[in-house]
Amino acid sequence: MEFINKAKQKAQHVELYQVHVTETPVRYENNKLKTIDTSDRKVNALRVVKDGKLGFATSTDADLDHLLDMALATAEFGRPWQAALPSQGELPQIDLIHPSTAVEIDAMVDTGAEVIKQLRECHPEVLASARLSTRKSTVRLVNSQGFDGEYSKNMLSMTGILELTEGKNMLSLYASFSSGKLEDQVQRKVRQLVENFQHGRTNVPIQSGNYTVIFSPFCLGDILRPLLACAEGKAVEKGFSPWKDKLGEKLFTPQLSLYDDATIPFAPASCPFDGEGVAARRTAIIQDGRVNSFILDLATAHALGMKPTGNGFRSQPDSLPGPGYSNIVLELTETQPLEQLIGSVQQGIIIHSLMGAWAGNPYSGQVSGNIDLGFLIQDGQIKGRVKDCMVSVDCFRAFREQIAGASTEKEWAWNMFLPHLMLGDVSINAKG
Amino acid sequence: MKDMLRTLVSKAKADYLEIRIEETDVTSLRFQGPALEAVNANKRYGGCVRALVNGGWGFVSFNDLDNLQAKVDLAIHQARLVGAAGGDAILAPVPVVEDVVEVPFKEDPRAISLASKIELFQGYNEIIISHGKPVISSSINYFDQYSKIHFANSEGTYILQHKLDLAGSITAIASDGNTTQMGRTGFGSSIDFGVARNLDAKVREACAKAVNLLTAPPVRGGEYTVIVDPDLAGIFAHEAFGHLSESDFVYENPSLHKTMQLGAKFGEKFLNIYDSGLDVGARGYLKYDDEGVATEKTDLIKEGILVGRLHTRETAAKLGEKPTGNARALDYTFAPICRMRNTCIAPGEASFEDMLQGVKLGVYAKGSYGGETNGEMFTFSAGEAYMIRDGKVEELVRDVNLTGNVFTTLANIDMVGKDFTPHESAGGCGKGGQVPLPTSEWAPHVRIQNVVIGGQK
Repeated sequence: MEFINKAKQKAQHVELYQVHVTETPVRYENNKLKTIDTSDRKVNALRVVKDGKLGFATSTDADLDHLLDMALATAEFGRPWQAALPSQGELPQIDLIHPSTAVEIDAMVDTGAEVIKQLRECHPEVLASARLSTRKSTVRLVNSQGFDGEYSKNMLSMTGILELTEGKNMLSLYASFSSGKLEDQVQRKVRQLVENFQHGRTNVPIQSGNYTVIFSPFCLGDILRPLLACAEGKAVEKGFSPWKDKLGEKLFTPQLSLYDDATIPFAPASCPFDGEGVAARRTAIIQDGRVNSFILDLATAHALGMKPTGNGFRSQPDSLPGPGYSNIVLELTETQPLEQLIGSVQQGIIIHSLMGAWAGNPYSGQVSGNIDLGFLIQDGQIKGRVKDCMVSVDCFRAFREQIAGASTEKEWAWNMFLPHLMLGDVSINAKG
Repeated sequence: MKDMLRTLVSKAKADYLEIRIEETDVTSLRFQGPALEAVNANKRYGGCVRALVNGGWGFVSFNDLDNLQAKVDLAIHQARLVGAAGGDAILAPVPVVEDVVEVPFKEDPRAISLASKIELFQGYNEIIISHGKPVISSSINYFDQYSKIHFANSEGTYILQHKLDLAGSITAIASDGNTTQMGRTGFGSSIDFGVARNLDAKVREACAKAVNLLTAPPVRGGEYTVIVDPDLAGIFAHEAFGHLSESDFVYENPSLHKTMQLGAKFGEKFLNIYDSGLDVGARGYLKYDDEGVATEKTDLIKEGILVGRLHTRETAAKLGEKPTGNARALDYTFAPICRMRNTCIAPGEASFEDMLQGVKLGVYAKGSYGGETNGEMFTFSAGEAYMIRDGKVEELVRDVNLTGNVFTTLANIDMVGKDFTPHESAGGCGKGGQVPLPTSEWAPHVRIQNVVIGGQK
C-alpha cells in the first residue's frame, strides 16, 4: 500500500486500521413504527512508532497525510514500544456472512410488525417495542511488516421490549440477539418475553436469607465479570490482577472451563484476526478449574514475556487496541436439562436480569445487584416475581465451591455463550 | 456552511427537517502504572439528517459529507415509509433561533500544549507510584473534546454551537497479594482546564482510600439508614428520579402518566429536585439542546410535589406541556432523545451532625462507582463507606451497592443537608445506546431511611 510506504519514510513502524460500517435499524416504539435510520461510518486509525515511541490518531475523513501528521505529533510523547507487529501469516477461515442476514428494510418492517403484534397479545395495556437492525462492516488492516488483511461481516440483531405499568408496579422485559446467521432467534426471543411476562404478572414476597439461585445466561455475565477482569492482560501486566502470579493454579472447581473463542462461525465477536493483525483462536482462560491463560494484545504479551493471544481489540473503531474478549464460552462438565434444573429446586430464585451489578471493584470478586427480573421457585415451580431485593455473590468462592448445577442448553447473551448456572447458598437482601 | 444548510432544509419536502454537522477534536491520555500508556488524537467529522413526514421519522447519519442532498432525500424517503405505517409524531412549537454560541472559557485546554498536560498528570501519577506498597499501580484517564456543531431546521432556526467537554479520573490501586482495592478522584468541566490542576491532596486521599480498603471487611447486607455524601446523593438523584422525569418514559404510557400526574406527592416539604442546562461550567451545561431549543432550569419536585418533567419537542407536544430543552444526542450518529443535563437536589437545612443523630446502626456512603435504573427500581454504588453506630461514624466497609424503589425511596428521605456541593465527575450517562453523555449531578448530604444494601448476612 502506497500510504504505508510513504509513512515508513517518517516512522519505524506503521499500522493503518480502516473500518467501514453501515447499519439500518428499524425501530418500533410503544406499539408502533417510530423511525427508520441509516448510518454509514468510516474511520481510519493510524498507529506509528517513531524513535521507539508509539503515536496514535484517528480520523473520519479520508485525508491520510493529515492523519499521519497527527499520529507523529502524539508519538513525540508516546509510550515506548518494543513489540513486533505481525507479518502476513496464516489466518483462519471463519464464516461471517450468511445469506439469511441479507434482509431488506421492508422485510424488517414486516418482521417488526409481527413481533409487536405477538407481544401485544399478552395484555391489552402492554407497550411493545422492537429494534431490528442489519449491520455490515468491513475491516482492513495493513502494517509496515507486510500484513495486509481484510474481512467483511454481516450481523442481524433484534431487541424486543415488553412493558406493563399498573399503578406503581412496572414490569419491563428485554430480550435481544445479535447473530451472523438468522435461524429461529426472533421467535425464540418473542417466546422468552411472553413466558417471562406471564411469570412476572404476579409479585411474591421474599425474605432476606440464603437461597439456591439459578443465573440465566442473560445475567451470568455479571457474575463472570470478576473472572474476566482478573484474566485481562493489562491488569496482569500492571500487577493489580489477583491472578498475576496464579497461572496454572487450581482456583476453581474442576468442572469449570472458560474460553475466549473468536473462531465460532457467525458469532457476534468472531473475526479472522484481531485489531492488530494477530490470528484469531480459541483460548482456554480457565481449564478444568485452573487458570490457564491471560487475554493478551501485542503490548501486554511483550511486557509479560508471553505470546499474544489474538485479543488486541478496539472497543471503538477510534480506540487504541487493548486486551479484550471476543466470544466468551462457559463450559461445565456436569449439566442437566434446564427443566430438570428448575424442577430440582425446593426453594430458590431464578434470575434473568440484574441491575447495577457491573458497578464496583471487579478485583474484589464481590458482585451485588438489584434483581431486575427474577422469579421465586418453590417445589420446582415458578411462583412469581421477586422485587426490591439485592443478590450478592463472592464470585471467587462461588466458582470454587457453590456450583450446584448447570443447564445443558446454552444461549447467546451478547458475545457470551452460556448455560444457566445454579449456585447454592446465595445471599439475598430484601426489604423489611 | 450556513447558507448551504439553510438552502437544503428550506426546500426539503418534509413536514419538518433538521441537519446537524459536527466537527470534533479529542485529545486523550492515559497513565497506567509508571508509564504513559496512551496519547491519542481523534478527529471526527460527520453529520445527520432527521426528517418528519406524516408523523413518521427518518434519520440518516454519515461522515462522508459529499452529496448532502442524497442524504436529505433518503431521510425523507424513510420518514415517509414510517408515516405511511401510521406514525403519529408531532412537535411542540418553539421560537425560531439564530445564534452563535461560543464557549465561555475560563482556561481553554486547546491553548495548553500536550507536553504541559502530560507533565501535570505525570505529577499526579508520581504521587501514586511513589506512595509505595501496598499501592502498586495507578490508572489515570483524561480527555478534552472540542466540538463545533451546526444545526439548521426547516423552521428557520440556525445555530452554530461550540462546546467543550473535559474530564478525568485518577485511581490509586492497592494490593496485598490477594485482594485489590481502588481509591479514586475525578473532575470535569465544560469551560475550564483549571479543574484538572491542584489535585495533589485529592490524589493522596485516593491512595489512602485504596490502602484502607484492603483491610476493610465487606459490608453486611441488610436494610439501613443511609447518609449519602454530595457525590453519591447526586447519582442518587439522577438514578432515583432523574430518569423517571424523562418524558419519553411517560408520554405514551397512560398508566405511568397517571402515577406521574403533576401535583403528586413524592417526598417531604424539604425535598426539591431540578434539572438545569444553565450552570455554566457543569458538564451538563448547554445553551441549546440538539433540537435547537434553549435550555432552562426545570423544577421537577418542589416541596415534595411533582411539578415538572423533562421534554423533547415531541414528548412536550404529546403531553401538552412546554419543551424544556432536554433533547440531546451523543453525537451526529444518533437522533436526539430525552436526557438530563445537571440534575440537582437543592440544599436543605440539616447539618451533618443533625443527620448522625439518632442513627443506631447505619451506613455513611461516599463517592460513586455509578448506578442504574429500570424505571421503577434503581441501584447506586458507593466508592467508600463507613458504618454508623450510635450516631458516630465508625469503621470502613467495602463493596457497598445500594438499591431503592423510585416511588417509595424519595419519601424515605428524612433530611436534606445545607452543604450543596457542585461536583463533577468523569462518568457519563447511558440511555438507548448513547453513552457516555456528559451530565452533572449536584447535591448536598442526604439522609435516607430503609435502604437495602447487598452483601452477606
